[in-house]
Amino acid sequence: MSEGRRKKAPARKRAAATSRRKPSRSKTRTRRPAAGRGRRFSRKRILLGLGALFLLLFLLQVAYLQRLINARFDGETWARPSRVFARPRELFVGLEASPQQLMRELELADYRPVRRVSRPGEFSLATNRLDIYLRAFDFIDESRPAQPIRLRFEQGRVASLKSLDAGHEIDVIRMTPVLIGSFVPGNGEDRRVIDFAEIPDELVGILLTVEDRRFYEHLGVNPLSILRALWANLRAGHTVQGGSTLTQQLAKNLFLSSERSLWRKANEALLALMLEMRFDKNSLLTAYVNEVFLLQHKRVAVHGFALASRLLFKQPLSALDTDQLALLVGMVKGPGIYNPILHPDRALKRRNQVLAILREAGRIDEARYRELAARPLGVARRLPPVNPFPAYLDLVKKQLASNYSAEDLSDKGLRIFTAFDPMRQLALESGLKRGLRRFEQADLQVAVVLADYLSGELLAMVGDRQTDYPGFNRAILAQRPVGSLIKPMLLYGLLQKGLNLATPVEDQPIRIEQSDGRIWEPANYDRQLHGEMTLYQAFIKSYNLPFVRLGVAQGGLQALAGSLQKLGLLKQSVVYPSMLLGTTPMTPFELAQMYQVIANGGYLAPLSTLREVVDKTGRLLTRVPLSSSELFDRSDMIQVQRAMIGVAEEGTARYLAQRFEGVTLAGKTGTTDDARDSWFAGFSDRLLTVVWLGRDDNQPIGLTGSSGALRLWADVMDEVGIESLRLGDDPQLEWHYVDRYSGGLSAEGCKNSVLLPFRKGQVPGFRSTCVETNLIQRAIQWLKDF
Amino acid sequence: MAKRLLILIPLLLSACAVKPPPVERTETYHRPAQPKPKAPAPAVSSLQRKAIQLINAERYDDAIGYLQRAIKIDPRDARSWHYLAQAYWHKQDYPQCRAMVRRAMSYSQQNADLQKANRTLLQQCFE
Repeated sequence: MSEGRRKKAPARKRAAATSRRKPSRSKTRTRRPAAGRGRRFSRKRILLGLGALFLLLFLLQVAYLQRLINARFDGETWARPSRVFARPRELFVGLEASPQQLMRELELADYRPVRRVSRPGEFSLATNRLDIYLRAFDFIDESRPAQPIRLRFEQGRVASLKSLDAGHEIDVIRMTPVLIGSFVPGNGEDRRVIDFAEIPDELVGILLTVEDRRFYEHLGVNPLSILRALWANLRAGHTVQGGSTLTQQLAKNLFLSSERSLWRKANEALLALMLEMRFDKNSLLTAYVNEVFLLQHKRVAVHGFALASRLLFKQPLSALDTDQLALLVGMVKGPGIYNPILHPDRALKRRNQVLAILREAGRIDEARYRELAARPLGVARRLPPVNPFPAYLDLVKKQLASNYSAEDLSDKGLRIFTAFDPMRQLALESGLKRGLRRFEQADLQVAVVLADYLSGELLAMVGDRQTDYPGFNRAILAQRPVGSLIKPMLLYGLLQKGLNLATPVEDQPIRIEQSDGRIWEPANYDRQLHGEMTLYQAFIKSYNLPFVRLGVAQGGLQALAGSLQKLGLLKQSVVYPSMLLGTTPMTPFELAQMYQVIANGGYLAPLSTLREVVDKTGRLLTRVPLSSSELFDRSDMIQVQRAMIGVAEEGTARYLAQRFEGVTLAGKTGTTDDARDSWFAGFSDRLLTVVWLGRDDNQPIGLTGSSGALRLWADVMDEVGIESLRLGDDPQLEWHYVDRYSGGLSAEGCKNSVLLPFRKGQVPGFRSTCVETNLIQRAIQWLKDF
Repeated sequence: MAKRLLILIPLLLSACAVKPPPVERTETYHRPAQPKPKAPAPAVSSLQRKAIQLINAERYDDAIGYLQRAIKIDPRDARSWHYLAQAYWHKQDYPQCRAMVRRAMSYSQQNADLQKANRTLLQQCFE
């Protein structure tokens, strides 16, 4: 459009000139010489006009290109994807870990095994000893320089921790956190931007030798090189050589398409000259190293040498050897053709071509060439998944959304530190994979949430049976009825209403007329009636009828609704009796929040993936404080926890007592109508894990909480690691043996006795027959002694 | 002696009438003894020491960072929660101060001195 206007303007000017000359034209019609002068004058003017037009067009084009350059280089040159880090593992004497576990984490953080550590990023493992050369890392509170350390292990724990260079003992030190993902901008470009100082000299040497030997001498365009390429191409009959300088290549990558035309070439040359006028050589070289496209990895375009090095060699650029750098430089010529994962033979050939060029240029000698050319490519067999932990990253993004826009995350190079525990996530995934085999149902879906309930930190998460599939995240999106998983909260409500764990309850049928006139007749899962028992016994067996009866008669329903409201989980304004049996849908994440409060003795610590967010200069933007608010009564919550221990020891989850003998655990099973959902929520000393099993089409899965999610929970925790729960105490509580059926005071060793906590003043006032019998026995014994 | 026999006779009679059932043990939760207060792990006390230095230097945010690290290593160490509450008190963030001191109290029931210090701090958090 702008070109059209440019053409019209001179035409109007010519027309105006003609009209002004009209009167003299008739006079000069017969005067040839004058006419000849007029034609010459006119030709000159035309030439001048054309020259001016060309100049104008050229200046307009320059201005246009200048605008392109300004738009790109004023402000941020590249969108810098934000990086998401796992929690840095704290190393200290007493840490429960094996060298193998730490080694796995080091590998995830791109550390390399060597015989003897000499450079940052290396580790060496010997019997009960692990040496690590920690890389420098900018933590929020300190910039930790690179440091070699030595750990010794005894009986599964770190027994000593020393600095290898200074020799002194270290109290506590953090490992380099594992990078778990990044938020890539909409154009799909991912890169790790590095400064000029971070570019290895050898890379510069190889790059310039192969791509542009006169880079530091030319002005952006090298006419000699273009002529040489032209000649070579003419002789070959097709394009065999490019004459572009690095600056031209940069100009093309940054601003132009890859079409082959003279116009594009001219623009490229012009842009290169302009870039050279504006920037110094080192800045241009740095831009090139960060910009060059090297690899397509699924939907992500890998730009820059630094990221390619991490992906292909799992090492920073500075750690690469000549042959590895030669491969990367060789890939510049054709990232698709020389992709070393897809076309290793071609890539190897190309690498050796580059090595040959280096030999010819005198950068390496013949012996070194032979040695390097004989090496295998040494790249990872498979690129690491772009986003190996999609469920967790999904929640990170969701929890950041209130403070950061999508552009902030994809463009501003933020560093996001999370609570993610890569070792526990991998253990969870491994346990899940093993456990799911037992069900042999291809359509069975799963979600797992693993949290530290004392701090509220979310450690690991799975939202799909295919754990690295970034699809529907069931852990935070699947709203499912929770079944009996609601009962601990209902039990708490009943305790608040003055009941205790030994309160006798009746397992009898009940009919409830609902507000719409319909009659609701709940039943136990086994369709049986079990007579009279304590609240504790009804809870561990997960009988429905006693809970519905108490819920309606003792105000349990209102108390439950109140508790859910406190947790922000009451989703309806009208309260229905069926809520007592967990018809309210919740996501596994929401349930995990509910159980966090239960496991933490009534203290709410909102489940969070985030620790800190810093900008690219290291300035702290967000810190998630340890939060702890006393939402529920601690002494009543301890009673609920005790009842949940009963579930795991002798109730619907007694499978755990067999599987983890001698380990105290607490939990609750849940099954929904027709066995459509199978739930288990359980906790050990610090860890809370919620498991959901079901189908996306909501069809029955034929599994109860006990036969499904509970088994999977055990498989997962077997891998994650399990420690006995230490039940808290409270001055308001006292402990007594009671009979599990009558609720009367009993004694240790009596049949059906169980040790339960009671609020002071709520201890049962009668004795069970066993106690009375025991009294007689003791009296007989006393008499015999007498 | 005669008094004793008088008490014993009805007991003996009832013992003859009722055959005591065999005492059966049931598998049930045996409450473990409450752990006594222990010295913090060197890693935790090292972080606590640094945090105290930072509190004294009025660098409360940095101190909070160190104490959060200590708590993540051992969340049941009441001292870390207590110092954290102190840092929040200095920052005049009283709701956080109260929340942290309550957590400290829930873990310091076996430590009378610390419990006393917690109660004093809790009062201050309300002032």
